[in-house]
Amino acid sequence: MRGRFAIGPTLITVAALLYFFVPLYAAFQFSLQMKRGTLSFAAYGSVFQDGVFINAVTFSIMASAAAIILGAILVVPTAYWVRLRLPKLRPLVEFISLLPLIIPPVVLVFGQIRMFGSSSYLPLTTSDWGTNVLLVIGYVVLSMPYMFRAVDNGMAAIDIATLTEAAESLGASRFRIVTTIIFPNIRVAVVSGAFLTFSICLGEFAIASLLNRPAFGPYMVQLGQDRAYEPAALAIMSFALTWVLMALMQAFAHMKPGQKLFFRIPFKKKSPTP
Amino acid sequence: MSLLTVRSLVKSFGTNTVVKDFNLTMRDSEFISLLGPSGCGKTTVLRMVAGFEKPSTGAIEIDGQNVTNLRPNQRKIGMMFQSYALFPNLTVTGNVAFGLKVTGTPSDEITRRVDEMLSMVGLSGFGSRYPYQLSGGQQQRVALARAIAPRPRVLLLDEPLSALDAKIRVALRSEIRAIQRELGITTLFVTHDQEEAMAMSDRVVVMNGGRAEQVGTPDEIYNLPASRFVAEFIGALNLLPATLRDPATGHVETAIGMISLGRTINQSVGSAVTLAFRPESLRLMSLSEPTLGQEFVGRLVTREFLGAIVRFRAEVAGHLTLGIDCFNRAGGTLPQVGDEVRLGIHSEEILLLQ
Repeated sequence: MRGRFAIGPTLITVAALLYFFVPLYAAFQFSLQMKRGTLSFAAYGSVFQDGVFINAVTFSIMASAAAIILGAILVVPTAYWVRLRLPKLRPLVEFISLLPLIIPPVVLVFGQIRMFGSSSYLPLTTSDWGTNVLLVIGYVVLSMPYMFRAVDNGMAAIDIATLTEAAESLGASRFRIVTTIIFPNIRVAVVSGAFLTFSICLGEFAIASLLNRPAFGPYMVQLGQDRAYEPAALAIMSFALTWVLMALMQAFAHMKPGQKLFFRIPFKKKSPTP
Repeated sequence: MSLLTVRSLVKSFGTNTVVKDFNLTMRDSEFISLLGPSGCGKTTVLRMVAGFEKPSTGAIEIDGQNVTNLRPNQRKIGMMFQSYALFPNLTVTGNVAFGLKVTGTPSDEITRRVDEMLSMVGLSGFGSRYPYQLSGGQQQRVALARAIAPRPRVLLLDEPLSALDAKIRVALRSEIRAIQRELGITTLFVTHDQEEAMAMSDRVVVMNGGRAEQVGTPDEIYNLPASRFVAEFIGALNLLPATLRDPATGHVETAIGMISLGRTINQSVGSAVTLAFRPESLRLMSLSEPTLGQEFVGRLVTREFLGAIVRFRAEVAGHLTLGIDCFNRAGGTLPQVGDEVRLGIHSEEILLLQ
């Protein structure tokens, strides 16, 4: 009833918020206590001054960007084709896309090392370049459940079949349809899949560590062993980054075609030329 | 010259044959409707002409070119869909320009053509809007502009008006027809709405069970239905079982007495036939009016006032009910339920169904 104080739900909500925020606050406070007796951001400064940190973050951003692009190139046409022509295969494809959630990354990376190790036909692990390729492929596999689901949901929201037929009747090739009609219409879904991929890749430890790549995940673990305050600062920064990404995802998800995310550049009259 | 020829088209999905030996020849600039109940195969025929379905057997020719094995994007057709199917990520201009860009039209030519198309469908000034900012009727106009912008050889319309409000539907159908006439574009239209089909078409193909039951002008279809299905599907119909008594003079015996059809009937004496006539063929007559060939007496049991028309049902011979449509003329007095009335009909307005 409106106006009556619902005691049960309120208690549960408060308990849940405490459960989530108390440890977070504790970590945050701890991260500020690097200098004895005062609260300061010294731990954060120390993290940013570390050249290894910058390198690790840069490497992870590059690797996840590559994973996002490769993942989108693989997933978008697959999901499109399955929805359009092979709807019977959808349960199977969905199952395959969920496998990375069941199989631990350690198994995946051992498989990679056995398949592409120094004594294999395609010894990718013998070069930095090849190992990076394996890492990106591993990231693509890990993010597959999220990427596929996001893209598939995006496609469910638009009438793929009729839009394809409309474009075909106007003379468009399959490639043109996917690039100019399908992809822009599921861009929001791809972007949210990309953000999820990014947050997974940034924290990923097992694959990067076993392939011996200088990524952010192994760096965090190493820092956790070596230092006291900096890991707390890193954890808080990771949380902040994840929240920013989630906020961006929400903003993109509610964007209409033709809307700009942050502001509109006023223009007089756009000529309708391509 | 025939622009679109469909020959012996058959389409089966597994063991289910949805189109059986369908033939059609469309002349240049002709507007033909495929009309039929749902599941009659009309949409399948249209989709085969578009290239979205492959015929099991048969051939489709456009402008003398066999297109049966061409992909949809090679057929130079324009298509409108029930769900509009505008590209949500493109503006109105982008949508109309899409087909022109595909063919590599120079950009100044695209600008000119898009403006021309938008003014033709009455949407000048809407170019920078997105589909979600338009009403259903406006979206369907954009879809029409998009379909005709690349000058297709054939325009295919897949129930484009079904999702619209009644008023917009009627307005848009005359606009589509006017634009089709102006451009002289050969058009194949699929609908389940007989009024739409008759109002818009040069010829109507009435389909049933995957076959064309009758091909003809709207008045041929309505006035001279070739089969019982067509007669019953198009318009309302009164049916009266009868027994043939004299084939030479067309005398039949019915529950309401002997009726003379005034024409020779090629069937043997005593065979069972069905007389059929439209509700508007039956006339309510005043006592002073001279007789109209056939006449019988009935009692009005219902009366529906529909504005221009008043629809009665009359009981005759104690158990049969017949529908009667009368114009609602100002000043005239129409009978009420319960009244005994004289009903008259010209014998040439009575159809004989097998």
